[in-house]
Amino acid sequence: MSSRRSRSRQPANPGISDDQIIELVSKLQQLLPELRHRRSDKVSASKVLQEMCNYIRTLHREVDGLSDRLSELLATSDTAQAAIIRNLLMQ
Amino acid sequence: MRAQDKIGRHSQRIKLAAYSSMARAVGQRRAWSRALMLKLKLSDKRKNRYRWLAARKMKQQKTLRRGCGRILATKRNRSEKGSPSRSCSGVDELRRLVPGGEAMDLGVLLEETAHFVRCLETQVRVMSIIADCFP
Repeated sequence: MSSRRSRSRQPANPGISDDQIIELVSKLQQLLPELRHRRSDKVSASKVLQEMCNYIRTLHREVDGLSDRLSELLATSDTAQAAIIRNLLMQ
Repeated sequence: MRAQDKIGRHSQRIKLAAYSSMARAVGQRRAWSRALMLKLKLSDKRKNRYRWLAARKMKQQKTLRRGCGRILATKRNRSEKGSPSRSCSGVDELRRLVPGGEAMDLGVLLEETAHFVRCLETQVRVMSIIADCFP
């Protein structure tokens, strides 16, 4: 890794340091339900990023599922509010 | 229109409304919300609301073929313009998942990801509460 560093040219944004990146990654780790209880030095940055991508996809799938559930509930409900929402959605 | 088609159509509109309201609740304060609002506005203008959702769904279903390289190596490689050998990493995939991610510096991308994920979690909670309100 040290040989790679010496070969690299000047970074485009020298403002952010590697330490800051490490801190941001550990903050992301705290958001992940499976990794937040593990020590940050035991989890690699690429693992955190990979799990973060999976987590975002999972959340999108949950939104999809909830949208399906809400539209089915809307179709079967006979309250006045449901009728108003159905009219709004038909536009 | 068949009842099933109607439910499917309503589901798409509910999903659009959910993402739209999530982005608008954050407003101009975040790069991801600005990018998402712009994307929704453009797709609305083209009157192809569902194409955006379908395209995003297709992207999600694509298998991640690249392995995960080192995050710091990617940061250095991105600074070398026109570099033919980009190191593959989870950063590239994250850029595609976070709205506006392609244009962000790495540090900004990580911060925006954290906020975006917290908002998505809140979105899921809100929709669950609404679904539970129905008799």
